[in-house]
Amino acid sequence: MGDTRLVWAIFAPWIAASLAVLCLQGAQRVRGSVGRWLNIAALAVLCGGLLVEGPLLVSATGDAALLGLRLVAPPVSRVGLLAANASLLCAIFIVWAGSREDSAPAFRSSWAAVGACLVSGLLAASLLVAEPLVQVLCLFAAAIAISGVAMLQVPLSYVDDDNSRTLLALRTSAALKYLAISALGTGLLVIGTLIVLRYGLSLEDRGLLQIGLAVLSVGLVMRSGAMPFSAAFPDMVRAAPGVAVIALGAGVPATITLGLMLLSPVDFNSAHASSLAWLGAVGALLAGLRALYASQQIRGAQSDSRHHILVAMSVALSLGWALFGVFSGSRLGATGASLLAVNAALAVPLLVGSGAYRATNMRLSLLGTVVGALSLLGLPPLGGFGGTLMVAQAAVNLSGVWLAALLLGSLLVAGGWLGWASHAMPDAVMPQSNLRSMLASPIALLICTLIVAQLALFFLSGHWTS
Amino acid sequence: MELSTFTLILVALGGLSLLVLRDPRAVLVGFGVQWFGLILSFMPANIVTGSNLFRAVATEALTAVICLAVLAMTLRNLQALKLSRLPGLSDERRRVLQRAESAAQYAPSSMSRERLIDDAWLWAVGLVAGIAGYGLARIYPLGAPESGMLAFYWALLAAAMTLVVHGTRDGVKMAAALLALLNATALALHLLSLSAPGSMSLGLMAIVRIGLCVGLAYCWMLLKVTFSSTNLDLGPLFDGRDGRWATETALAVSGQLPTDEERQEEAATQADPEGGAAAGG
Repeated sequence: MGDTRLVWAIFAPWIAASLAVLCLQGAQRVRGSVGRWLNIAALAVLCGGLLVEGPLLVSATGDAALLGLRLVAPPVSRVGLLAANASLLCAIFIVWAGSREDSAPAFRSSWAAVGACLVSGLLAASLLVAEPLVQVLCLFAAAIAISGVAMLQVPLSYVDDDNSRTLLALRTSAALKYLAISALGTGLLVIGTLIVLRYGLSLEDRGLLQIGLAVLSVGLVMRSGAMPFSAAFPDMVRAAPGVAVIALGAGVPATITLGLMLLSPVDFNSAHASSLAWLGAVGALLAGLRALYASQQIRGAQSDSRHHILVAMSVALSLGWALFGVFSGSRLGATGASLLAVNAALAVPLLVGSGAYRATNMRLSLLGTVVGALSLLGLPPLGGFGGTLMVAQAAVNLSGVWLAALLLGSLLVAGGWLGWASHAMPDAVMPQSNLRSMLASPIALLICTLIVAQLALFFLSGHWTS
Repeated sequence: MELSTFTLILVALGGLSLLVLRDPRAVLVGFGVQWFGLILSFMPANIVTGSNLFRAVATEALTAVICLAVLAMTLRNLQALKLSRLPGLSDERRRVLQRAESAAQYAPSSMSRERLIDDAWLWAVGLVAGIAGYGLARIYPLGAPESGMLAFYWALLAAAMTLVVHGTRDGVKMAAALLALLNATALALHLLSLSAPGSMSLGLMAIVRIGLCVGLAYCWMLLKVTFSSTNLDLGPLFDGRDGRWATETALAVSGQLPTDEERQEEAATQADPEGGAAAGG
């Protein structure tokens, strides 16, 4: 029975996506009230998928033996639920934005919604199915979907305007790079996982285990788009923001959570942990320094570039905290890292989406940026606080010095955001808009839904800690 | 000849053709030969026996047939497509494309000095990759049969070298190398797993390769139709990303190949040098 529910829960987003696409394609061909009703139907189908998927997953994941998850079994099942629903929320937002005539062109494509739904389904599958190889392959299928969405936005016909063709070339090359790096990373992840699974339980040949771990780590870094394999993301953000939202908001946190689950069979005792956990603290500190430098150096017309750098450094800070939690060798740290991964899934789409709407609606864009940045910095009452608190407790158990380094990194990134705000505000052109038009804007929907999800995450993390 | 030896020959030849050959159709044939060799490599693997062997071989063969069919059909149709006959082109653009298509037919001689040096370099890289694969299989067998690991390392290194050497230039080779990389990963799945891979792993491995294949075939179409790449090379895409479009390409092409009028003038000059000089004076 549990199997059937799980299968339905995993495929519910896909079914919802297919129905929504049919409605949207119909809406593109039919104008007037019928088209509007078809748009509403697509939105309703996606919301229905969200409502149905939740109870199905909760009832299916009640059986821990079915999941077979290891170190962080109970939280991870809920993490999977939250992450899948967060991706579906993104899909709803993109469809909503695409259905509005005054929305930004980047969000118009309904295919982005298909990609988001596919990613959410694959994410749920990868986080809920126990076999690590299946998780890796599901993530790669998600990467193919993301690249496909980016490529499908390029028309299959000759475009005479050179500027448009340059943008299309940028988008296609970004998709191609993302696809190639994902394929390479997936190959390494599968091979590394096979070696670790083969030699992880017997300590007779430690050299092969270390090789397996090294291959696996490089694969994770490639798949999560960390330096020096981050070539595709800046192009994606520049040329296809909707696709970048999907890739950054769903793919990266899923990779982090996957890394948690893959690395969990390896027994990290406290001696190993203390020798590796510093990597996370140093990463957080470097991210903070880079953010502060960027906020001071780039001015005026390059404000968008500064926003992108600050978003990237905030994600790097979150990754540093999560890495510290993983290598802290404690259950508390691993759970905190999972929560930070889900928080990134919620906050990154909000930050990237807010940046894209800066020219359209400055006030709402600033509100979205503030909420996303505060959440990634781990401040209460937003979703990042729970995970940050857990990792901080794990850090106290190891050494207060590393906690100080992590907090200093957060402080520096916060300083970077403050510097950005002080430069961005005076330059801002405040459009004259009334309250009604502001609330009807797609960015308002995104902010509302994600604030609710952030608060839910905050209170749920309190429940898990207790 | 033993099956494992035959298999290794197929994998080696296929990998070498990925790295060395230039004709897109020959590259695809070589890629198919390598895939066939990798499927045969499942046979000596100890863990794949009985019904599991049939399931693994059938899944892999079906995946290979679908992927190769998609790639071959796309390539055939795109090679038959003339860019200059596409609708919606301006006259100037159509002339540029006609010249580019004519230039593409005049491939440089295979006996030129540059071409020979290039080929020698690629053969040397292939040889080094082969020796490296043999060494890795001897040093790190990872508990699997040696012939299977040799096939795995050869396929992996051939794909990696092809990506490094041709990955940013040739769309066909990049697609074949990415798929070959995943084929090597699929072989590792059979060789290194503690038990026979489950249906879900096999199915997902097949689906992601078919998905990748469809995505890359669509990318070829974009290269040809949207970015006017006559030989499916990635140059126009990356040039276009930097904003370098038709003007420079047209100058480069016209510099390489004379127009019909220029040819007629040149022929007239050669036939009547004095008249040509007088006309010029």
